[in-house]
Amino acid sequence: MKHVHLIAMLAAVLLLGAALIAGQAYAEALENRYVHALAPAHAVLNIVGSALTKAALQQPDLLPVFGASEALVQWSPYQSAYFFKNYPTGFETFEVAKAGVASLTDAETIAALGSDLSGKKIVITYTPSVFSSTQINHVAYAGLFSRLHANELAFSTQLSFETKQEAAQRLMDYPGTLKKDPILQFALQHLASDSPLDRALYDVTWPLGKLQTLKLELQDHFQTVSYILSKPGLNPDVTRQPATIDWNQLAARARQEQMQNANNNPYGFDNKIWSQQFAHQFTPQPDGSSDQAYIAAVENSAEWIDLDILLRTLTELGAQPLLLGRPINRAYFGALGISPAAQQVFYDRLHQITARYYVPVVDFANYGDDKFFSIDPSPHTSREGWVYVDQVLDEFFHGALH
Amino acid sequence: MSIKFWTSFFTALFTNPIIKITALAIFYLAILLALIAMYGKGDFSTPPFVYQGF
Repeated sequence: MKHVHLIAMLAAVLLLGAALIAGQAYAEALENRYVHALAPAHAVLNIVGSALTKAALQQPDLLPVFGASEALVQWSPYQSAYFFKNYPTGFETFEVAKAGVASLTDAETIAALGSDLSGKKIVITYTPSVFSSTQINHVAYAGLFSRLHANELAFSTQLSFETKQEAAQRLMDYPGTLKKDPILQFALQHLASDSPLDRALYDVTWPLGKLQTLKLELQDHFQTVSYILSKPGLNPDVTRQPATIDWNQLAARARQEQMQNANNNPYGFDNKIWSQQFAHQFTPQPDGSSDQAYIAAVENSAEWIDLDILLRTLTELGAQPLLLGRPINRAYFGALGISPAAQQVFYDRLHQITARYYVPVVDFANYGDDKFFSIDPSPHTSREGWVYVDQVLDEFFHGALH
Repeated sequence: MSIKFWTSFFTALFTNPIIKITALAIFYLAILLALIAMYGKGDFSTPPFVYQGF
């Protein structure tokens, strides 16, 4: 018996492989079983992991929504995760959202879903405010960084080399997030460069990166299973109550409620927000006095580069996305000294870039003069605004969005 | 049952190649599982989040 140790080692590896495959199958079955119950939970593990989101993509009655605080604030019975909780029109939203998420983080999250996205309807939400920031600061980006997502993007087989390269160049702008992952750091460093040697070094790293990604995927399943098992009272059978929705009546009711809570200022902000953050320090500026600064901020924002990466990623993965925004509050922006013409610079740029990828956009610009759509400058959505958002989500899901 | 007995017993047992391979496979599997237990859990935590206003 010359090779007894080799045979034993091979048997051990095969046994372990079989156990991991069985474990993954068990995890996926559990995730599929509980994904409806966890849809309204806004679980943080969706921000750093992908397992539950992949399970959501397999469900015909869940609509994944990726976004930031605009998907979460302001809570009210009209907020989409709550509004669709009982599947009134046959579906519920599955929101992957956390305050501060911007397009680069979204692009990584989307890339990590890979071929699971093919042919699937998803919604990406945004607020105009992110497009007038220079770029996400390092601390905020690091607080939302996922090693799994970044590895999936860097070593993806579905994305083109050019898309990965463009993303790598942006990821390298946040070197602090890569310190714990030398394989990813090395791969991104060479992916971001153009020389044949860099390309060769990236290619050499690829198998190791793919193996590491596989390990991270298994860890993601482990975390997700642990999360599910930590909630012993979780009922996988959700309540479904079909209902007919009169959107106009609902919007009128929500508007009335909003007006009662936003009557101490001329911009439609929630009374509490106005009192605490603006009442004592806000001074209206002359018309157009801030146009130059605003236009420069919009034109120089790195968010456009990141949005381009996000849209390319969505296109190459074959998703059917909807870009769903929130309107600029024209009265408030006017008081900031930003004229309607300057505000339009943002909308024009947005439509210019999305048109390249044939991605439909609902920007709600036609609600810019409705001060009760939002509750603050970001803008976050009011009770009334949520009804309009819900209606668009409903139309998009049912293929009735025009 | 002396130590000598057990030594002889295991020596005889391990002359059977199937038993030897099975025992070694279990041994290697235990090592791999221990490595997974030690290093496989992963760290999905992120640094403290700072809200930038959007």
